[in-house]
Amino acid sequence: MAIHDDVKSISRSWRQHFGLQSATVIVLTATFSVVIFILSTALNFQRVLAVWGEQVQVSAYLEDDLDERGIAALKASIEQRPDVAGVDFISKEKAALTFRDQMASYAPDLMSDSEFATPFPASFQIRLKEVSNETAQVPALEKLAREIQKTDGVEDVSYGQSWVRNYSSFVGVMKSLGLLLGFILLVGSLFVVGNCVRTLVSGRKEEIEILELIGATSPNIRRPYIVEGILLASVSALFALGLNVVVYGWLIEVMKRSLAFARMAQEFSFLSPLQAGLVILTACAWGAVGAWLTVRSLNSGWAAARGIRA
Amino acid sequence: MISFSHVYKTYRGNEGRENHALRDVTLEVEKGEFVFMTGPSGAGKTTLFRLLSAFDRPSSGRTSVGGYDIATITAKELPFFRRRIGVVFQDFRLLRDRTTFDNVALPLEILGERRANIERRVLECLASVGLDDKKDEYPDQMSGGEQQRMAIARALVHRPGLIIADEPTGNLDPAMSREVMRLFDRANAQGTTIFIATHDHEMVRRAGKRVVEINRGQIREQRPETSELSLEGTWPSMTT
Ligand SMILES: Nc1ncnc2c1ncn2[C@@H]1O[C@H](COP(=O)(O)OP(=O)(O)O)[C@@H](O)[C@H]1O
Ligand SMILES: [Mg+2]
Repeated sequence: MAIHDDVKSISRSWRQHFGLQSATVIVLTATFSVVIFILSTALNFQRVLAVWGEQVQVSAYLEDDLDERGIAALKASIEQRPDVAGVDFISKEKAALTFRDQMASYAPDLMSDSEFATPFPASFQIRLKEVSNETAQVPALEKLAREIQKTDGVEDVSYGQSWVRNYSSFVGVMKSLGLLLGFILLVGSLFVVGNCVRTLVSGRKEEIEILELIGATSPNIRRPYIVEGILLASVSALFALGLNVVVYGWLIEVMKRSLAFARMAQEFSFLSPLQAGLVILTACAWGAVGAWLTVRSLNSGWAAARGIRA
Repeated sequence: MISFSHVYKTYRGNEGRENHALRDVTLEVEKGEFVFMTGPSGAGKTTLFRLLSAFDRPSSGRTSVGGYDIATITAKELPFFRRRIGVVFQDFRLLRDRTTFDNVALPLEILGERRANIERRVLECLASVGLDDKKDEYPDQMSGGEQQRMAIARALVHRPGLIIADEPTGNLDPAMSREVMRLFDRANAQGTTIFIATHDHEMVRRAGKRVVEINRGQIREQRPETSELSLEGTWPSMTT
């Protein structure tokens, strides 16, 4: 039987079970919305981690009594490390100038204060080579910092330790939680699809029996239900994506207006069209699996023999 | 075409009591034959037909139909066997939510026929059973006789090699019965094997075909030349 017949069969079932089908779509939409929100938020946090991680530089503050030869030797030895992309030397004077520039708008008085000494030590700004995997970024950073700290001539090392580590573990926890929640919701949605299909099937026991008697194969008989599952899931996924586009747009607006999150908001965006397409494809597969789990043992060819009909 | 030997079909009753709906049935029907089966209600006609059409399996014995052994037929073969036969069920078994046209088109759709062919053939069949003006109506809107004709059209539409009909004229008036019998005759003339269960002894007598009689699950063969006599003997009230 052709697609044509599936379409007929499905439009019949929607007319008969409109309440059930709509309820299923609503529940699935809600479920998928949460899953998609988790997914895109996880991707965003991940991206923020990667972008910020890249921007992070390790500052190695040098001991005051290091002479020019010592500085040059130290620079060369750090540059040789395989994980280092480049090293810039910031002299005491330059550090002070930069500081003044940055502070000018906040504390103009400071600029005119001749007493204002330059308490800044000379430093190296060390740029890291790109790490392919974002989760390896922070450990790599920490390792580098630890080793440079031990080097002679280095007074102190700083790389924004606390926030990088905190943010990284925050993302890790969120990811695990999201994975767990997403998993639970997706398994639940399988049952939602399966349940809907089960009701459709039980309303059409006789039809299935008759189709079997006339020579429809099991795949023939099961296919409309699988298509039905795909339809339910893909329609719900579309609704859920639409809902998320709206919610995400609003969320990013709110973040931009808040000082604490403004910078993060720059890196935030909703799923790309490709990712959205993948979400819909996955939902289709999911709907098919949910329906298939229900109908796989639907008919053995002997449905009529099981029913008592003398 | 049909070869049954020592076939039993046993239903188990409530208290484990066994009810042999068929007992030791041995039957041969050649390809192209036209056979009537008669017998009182509860004799086992429907049960026999359910085995013939592979809607159920025998409890024991060998049942071969069109080269398939119904007792051992695999789930894979089953639908392909069923597509090659045409069955008129005693209770019609029409799909309530499909129109007459869609019901009759079903066997062709399952065979994967082209749309245009389906259209042509279904309309032709509906016309031959006098339902061409009811093609867009649903079974529940139609009389018993009309539903029966729909069921007959569905059994004929894909030109099967074997037609099995369980009381196909039970709801039809005499004129329509004759019309339907002519359809079966025409299919038979084209080589289709026909096996019909009926109560209508008048029709059987007039047709002068081979008759198989069944009673309490056991069959008795009657050749055409003797059928009239024994029919009169068995059902005196039916004689004219
Ligand atoms: N599914 C079944 N379960 C139990 N008994 C059955 C079943 N089908 C038929 N029978 C019994 O088998 C016998 C034959 O029935 P059936 O073949 O329908 O007779 P007929 O079609 O000749 O009227 C009857 O006694 C009936 O009660
Ligand atoms: Mg019967």
